[in-house]
Amino acid sequence: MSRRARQQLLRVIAGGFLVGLSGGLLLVRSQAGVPEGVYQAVELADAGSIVGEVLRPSGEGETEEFPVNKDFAACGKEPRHIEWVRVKDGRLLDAVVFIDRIGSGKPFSAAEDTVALRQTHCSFEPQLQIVRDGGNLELRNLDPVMHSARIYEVIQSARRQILNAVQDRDADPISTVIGATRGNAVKIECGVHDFMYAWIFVARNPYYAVVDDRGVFHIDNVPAGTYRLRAWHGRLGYRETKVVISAREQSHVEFIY
Amino acid sequence: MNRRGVLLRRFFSIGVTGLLTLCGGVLVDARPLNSELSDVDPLFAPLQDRQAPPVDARNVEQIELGKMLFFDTRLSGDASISCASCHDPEQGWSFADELSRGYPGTANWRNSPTIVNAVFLRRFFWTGHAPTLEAQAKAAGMGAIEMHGTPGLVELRLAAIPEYRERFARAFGGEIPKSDDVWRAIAAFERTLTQTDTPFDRFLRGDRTALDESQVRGFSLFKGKAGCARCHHGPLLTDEQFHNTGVPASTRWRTDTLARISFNFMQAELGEAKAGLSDDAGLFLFSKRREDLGKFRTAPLRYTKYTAPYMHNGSLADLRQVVEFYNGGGDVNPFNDNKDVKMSRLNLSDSEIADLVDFLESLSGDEVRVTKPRLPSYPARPVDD
Repeated sequence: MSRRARQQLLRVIAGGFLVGLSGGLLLVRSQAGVPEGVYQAVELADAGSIVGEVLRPSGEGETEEFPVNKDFAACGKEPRHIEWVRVKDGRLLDAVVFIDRIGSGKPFSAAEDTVALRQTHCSFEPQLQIVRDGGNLELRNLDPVMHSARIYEVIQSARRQILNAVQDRDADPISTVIGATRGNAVKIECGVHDFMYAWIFVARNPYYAVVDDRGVFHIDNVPAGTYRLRAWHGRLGYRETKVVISAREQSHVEFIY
Repeated sequence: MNRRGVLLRRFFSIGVTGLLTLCGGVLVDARPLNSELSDVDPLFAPLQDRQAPPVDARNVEQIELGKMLFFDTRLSGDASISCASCHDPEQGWSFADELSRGYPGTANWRNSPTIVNAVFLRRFFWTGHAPTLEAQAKAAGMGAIEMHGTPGLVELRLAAIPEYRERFARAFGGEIPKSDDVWRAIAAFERTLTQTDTPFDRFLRGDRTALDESQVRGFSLFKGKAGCARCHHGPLLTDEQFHNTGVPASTRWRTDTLARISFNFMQAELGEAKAGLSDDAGLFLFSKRREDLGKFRTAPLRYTKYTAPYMHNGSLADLRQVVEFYNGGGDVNPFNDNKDVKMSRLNLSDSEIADLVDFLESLSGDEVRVTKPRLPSYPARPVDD
């Protein structure tokens, strides 16, 4: 075979390979329907549920006292006692339990699309809430003093800034998109008052529950299958276990911190 | 040694250096790891508290006072931010965002370095422009995008609190707190923040089980193929010199208005407002020498397990990204003409990268934690001046 003929043959083979590759990619894309990783709501015929507790056997809480040095009219004069870790009867409060990586199932509720956070009496309220990944946060300052919200995604030991904004009294609400690139944790601090903080749990699917005031959680309407179930606490981090869900049955799980 | 001997030794030394330079990625010490390097290798040594100041009664008072001041927000202009805000014990005594936290209404423009083991350094800040811990504390305490403190106001705030008056008197003498003593006390406290008991230190002291197999392989790469130790050597794993390794420009100049303002502000403060610099020029801003464009001090590698993200602008999120950055021969920044010639592709495999990351994690030891001090409130009524 001449050199020219060999080159022509190689071009034909390469061209065929590229055509085949792009055709394959198109096929994969059309089969998937939605981009990978995006949660889809679907009809559920037979589902189960998960109940459980988040335990803190040591009973150990964590508090910190901060003096109030300014803005007494809004913040008061008494030192602030911040309860970083709240425990009641050996159960951990303020924890979120969630299924990690579930592609489809029950729908989100509209309440998870936009959440409100108030700055009042030099505290963030509420101190823990859930927002859908990519959802909206509306921040209001109800105090007669300036606040400075600093919002960070917490990624293991690193942080990613989402917002750094001063907000004076009577200022318009600040609206920002809340998303997490890795993990689920977003922390909000005030740059002006170091005792102000709040947490946001970023949900990638609606299979989560905040523990109640007895440290108990309940997640319903879960498709049958095996899942990675995780617990998260803003101060204490993550715990993880596997859970098997059977149709119309309830699985029981305990997390220990 | 006679003159001939000196010349021969110098000639030999130049020859060896030239050979090593030609070898590129092959490092100074490529001996087998099992050799007794800890006792004889000048490149590495365990870190010891050799510089710890003498502990006397006054020093103890200064340390206790310094610890309180370190956590007290009243040192800052609007009483909102303390040293601990950017050097948070829970964030590796640093700040975990790419750029450090700034004074309210501002952003900082550089990543906050840890202060653990800072006592062993010869100079401070990413460009080494503070010669002492006291000078560093003062510069950050008064900097417009850091704490924005005013010495006279800080003195009067502290003087208004009887407990502080008493503590300053015991620690330094005098009737009222002086701002220079504030920085001295903070530096005294910072000198206590050391971590010298790491797996790597134990390994160098002779405990061959202190590092696991992956970490031992990582150490070998660190000294050899990966070339890390050309700059990261000595007890602190830094040459304390300045290099442009091609760290890419911070994306925050384009995405974060407050960070952009601080970037422009700091250039103006350092006399380069009209220079048209598109990124942090590093040591050049202080030395004004073009050969210093984009140079920053080699970071100490101790305690880095707790201090992500990394580099002067925090552009690398974790230790794996750091190793991958060097594996690619660094990146590109606006001062690329000045990039260190030692930066070249390393051709590390995935498992070699993992070994290096494992080794880097052996340099940190346990977290350094302290009990936060109880801070006195202002009295209900002003005290007599």
